[in-house]
Amino acid sequence: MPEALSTRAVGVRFQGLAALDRVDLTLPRGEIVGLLGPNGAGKTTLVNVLSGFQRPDAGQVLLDDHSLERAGPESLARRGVARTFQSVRLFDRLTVTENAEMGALVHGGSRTRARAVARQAIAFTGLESVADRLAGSLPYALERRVGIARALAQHPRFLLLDEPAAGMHDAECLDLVALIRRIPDAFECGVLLIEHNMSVVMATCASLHVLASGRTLATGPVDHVRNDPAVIDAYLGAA
Amino acid sequence: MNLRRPRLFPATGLIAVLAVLAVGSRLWGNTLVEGALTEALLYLVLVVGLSIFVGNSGVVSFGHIGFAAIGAYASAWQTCCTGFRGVFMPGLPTFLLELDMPVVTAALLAGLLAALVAAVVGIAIMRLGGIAISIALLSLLFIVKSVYENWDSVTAGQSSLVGLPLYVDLWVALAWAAGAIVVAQIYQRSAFGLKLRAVRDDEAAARACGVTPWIQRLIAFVLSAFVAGVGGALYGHYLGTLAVSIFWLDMTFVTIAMLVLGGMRSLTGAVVGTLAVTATREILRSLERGVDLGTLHWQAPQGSQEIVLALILLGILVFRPEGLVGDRELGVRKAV
Ligand SMILES: Nc1ncnc2c1ncn2[C@@H]1O[C@H](COP(=O)(O)OP(=O)(O)O)[C@@H](O)[C@H]1O
Ligand SMILES: [Mg+2]
Repeated sequence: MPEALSTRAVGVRFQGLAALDRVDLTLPRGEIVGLLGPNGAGKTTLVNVLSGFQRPDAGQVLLDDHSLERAGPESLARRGVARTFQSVRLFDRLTVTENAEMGALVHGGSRTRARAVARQAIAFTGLESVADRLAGSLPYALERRVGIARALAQHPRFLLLDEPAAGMHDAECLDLVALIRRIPDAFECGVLLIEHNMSVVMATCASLHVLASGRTLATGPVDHVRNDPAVIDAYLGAA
Repeated sequence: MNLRRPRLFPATGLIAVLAVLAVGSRLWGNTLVEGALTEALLYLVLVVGLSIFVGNSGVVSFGHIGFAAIGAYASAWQTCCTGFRGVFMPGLPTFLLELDMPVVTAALLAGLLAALVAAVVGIAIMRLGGIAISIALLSLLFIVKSVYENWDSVTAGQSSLVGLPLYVDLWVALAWAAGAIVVAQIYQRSAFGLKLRAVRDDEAAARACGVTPWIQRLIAFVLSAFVAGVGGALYGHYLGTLAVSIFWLDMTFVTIAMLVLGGMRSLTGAVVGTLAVTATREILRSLERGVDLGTLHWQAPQGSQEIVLALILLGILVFRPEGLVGDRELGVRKAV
């Protein structure tokens, strides 16, 4: 079996509302999978489940063959699952370098070693010019990049990006696409990308997983999903 | 924080400034000033101890003076009142009654006892959220006070304990303050310090980096209780007498005022705040004693010390909520 992070029939309920219902998602290592769906579809909840922030009410979370639905975020982070947040969540009073250092420290070791790893992540994401600035003082588009740098400094096997392009204009989006496309090879990791901008999705993802109201609407290679009548009706048709 | 600066900066710079002040006050020969500076340095040990936890975790602690009390009495148990220890504190175990511990070892062991208590209560308290921790720590101060006041046989709690060796002078205070600053600096620059500041800024994001928030808070809490415990021990040997009421809300308020006034998150802030508040208190104290202006004798009303200090703190919180120096450190360009 290839290395993968996946869910099996995962369900999450919030006060009776099914945020996720029997969702099977597979993120193979080395691939970029797009996670699509209208607002409220359950995308962030699924990322929370995969990263240990949300314990599912039903189903399994599998990292390779290990069942991890009871593991907390700290434990999943140490096992190689990194994420960004839709609301960014940087360490505002730490510098950009220190933010990335925090990612590198997930595997223990000294600050000296962590700083070296952090510098690589900062170079990879093109943040050298702001490396010594406080994270809280950065413009929005750069903040999102710092979030990615911090996650990459963890040298994750699986990276979950929750709307990394939100609020970016076209040029910034293009830069981001180029950055994300380089990740699987450079870090030997799988990327789950939540994104509304269809041109970003089409330019980066090999396969897609579409959610609507907590259920899987379609899943598979981009061309297959793009032509699925249910998807066209419910989601893509409107976009 | 700029990592390219010398390894022990700003600690070395701060210690140099304090040493210059100490030598200056001795050369000046003004005993009032020298006494005030000695007291400031002793408070600095407490404030630096407090800042290890508060500055890095962002959680205000109203309980650290409880650790100072624990440290002060622990040192008294080991060194107090030669020959009369059993008379004042008949409840002490025999090995303590016969002990003749060197004062430095006694201070370190006193700090260790405070750290041990912090470790035990911290396992529960550090799992709480921010404001709940502050409230729990205030309760801890109340508990320590009740226990020590009523545990008469080892604390002479209803009266005062007299006859502690008076070994703390300006230089002893300076040495321990320097030690506290170095400890705080090393912690602040360690991976532990960085992780706790990350927890302070965003707990969820810190967890996503593999950090368990309460464990990081606990590490800082134990270390800061150790320093506060040593600070309490020194204070006892500066006064020569101990009463539980010394380690109470006054001292809690003054130490927090020192930290907040200078800048909660910076070591330089702790030093500046401690010196500024001590100077203010000394001036107000002498005004309370009265001043002669030519033929006129004017005396500030009793209690002006506390009121003016509270007003200054209020002013700082309103107009300069980050404190006098904010996040800056001595000799370090501010990151923006
Ligand atoms: N902590 C929560 N408590 C209650 N309801 C929640 C919570 N988190 C998400 N939800 C609900 O679950 C549904 C899915 O939300 P979310 O996963 O954030 O969607 P998406 O990221 O696709 O926009 C929404 O209806 C949302 O209101
Ligand atoms: Mg979302």
